[in-house]
Amino acid sequence: MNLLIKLFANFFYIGMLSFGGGMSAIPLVEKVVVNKNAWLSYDEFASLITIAEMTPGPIAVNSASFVGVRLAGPIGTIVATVGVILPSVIIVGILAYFLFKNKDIKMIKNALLLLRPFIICLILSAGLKIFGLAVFKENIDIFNLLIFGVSLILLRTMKLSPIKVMLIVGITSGIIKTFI
Amino acid sequence: MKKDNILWTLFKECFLLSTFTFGGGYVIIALMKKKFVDELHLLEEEEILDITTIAQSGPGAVAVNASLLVGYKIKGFIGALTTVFATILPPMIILTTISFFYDQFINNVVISNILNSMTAVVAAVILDIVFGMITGILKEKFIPQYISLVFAIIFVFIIKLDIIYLILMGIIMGIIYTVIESKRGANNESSN
Repeated sequence: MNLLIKLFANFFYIGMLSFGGGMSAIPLVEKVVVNKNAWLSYDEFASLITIAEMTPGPIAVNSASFVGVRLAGPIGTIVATVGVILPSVIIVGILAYFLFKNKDIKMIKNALLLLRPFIICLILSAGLKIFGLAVFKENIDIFNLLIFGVSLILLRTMKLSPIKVMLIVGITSGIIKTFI
Repeated sequence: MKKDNILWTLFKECFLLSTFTFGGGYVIIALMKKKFVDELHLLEEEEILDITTIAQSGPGAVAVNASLLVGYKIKGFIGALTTVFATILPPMIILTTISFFYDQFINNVVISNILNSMTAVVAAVILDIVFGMITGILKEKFIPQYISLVFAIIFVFIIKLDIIYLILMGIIMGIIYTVIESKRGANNESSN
């Protein structure tokens, strides 16, 4: 019971603070799930983000479902997921109530423009952490560094969708890695 | 369309969108527009624009927020409950299933190698998106946002402030700017 309350409260916190789209949940999940509660190890966290990127659905909801079920079974999934969406349901509900009436959306849009750089830096710091997990082990993992480089080129210059790059590069190099 | 069918339509469409949409909240909004505006004529084009803005303004996943607003617009509170439930159900089922297999799969050498390689790809995906967002900010040439960017870099990477204070700081800067801006607007109007 205690664990369920803790799950709910912690994912409520993630849901409340993840402004600015899906990726903004990553630094929060790292802080809450890995650093604060040690529910997942750093390696499991990296797997979670990889799985969350690979599957449909928002990262925050995917993380809640995954962590919830691992800690407390199906009930945990429901509790964590409801926790993570409840703040946005409440806040967006209130915003909708006023904004559909007043239409003064521009003000909030302006305020968010200045919040965005903070979100970007937070996502960047989480991205660098995941880069570190993939590339710096006991030694530098040259193969993963190569995968990173190739993926970045595919994403930047060829504008392939992330999911395609993950499937093509991830599976190919995973198989190569197994047989060399 | 019969009235009691609307809830079922909402549930079905949101469930399908949530199950088959890869690529995050913005993709789902584009697909929602196609479905609810162009095909089913349940919403106006302009309403979807408002919904997009509000969905981005609140915290949380854009897909969940957008489906909440679509449901609310079309069928009020019950509609919102229906669409939110339909949107979170697929990821819950999928992730629960994956988590069940995770322990068995992670010990498989090939799968753990693939997962490990994909982590490097995910790092590239995240940094690519960050790179795009920073380029976006620099292109907008909006001085207050530059200032906010400098603050963000200092407080995230050098001072390493806790996330909640960083978010609060961003929100407060936004509010201060909005207040200054609206005062300036009011002054301009009165001087004209």
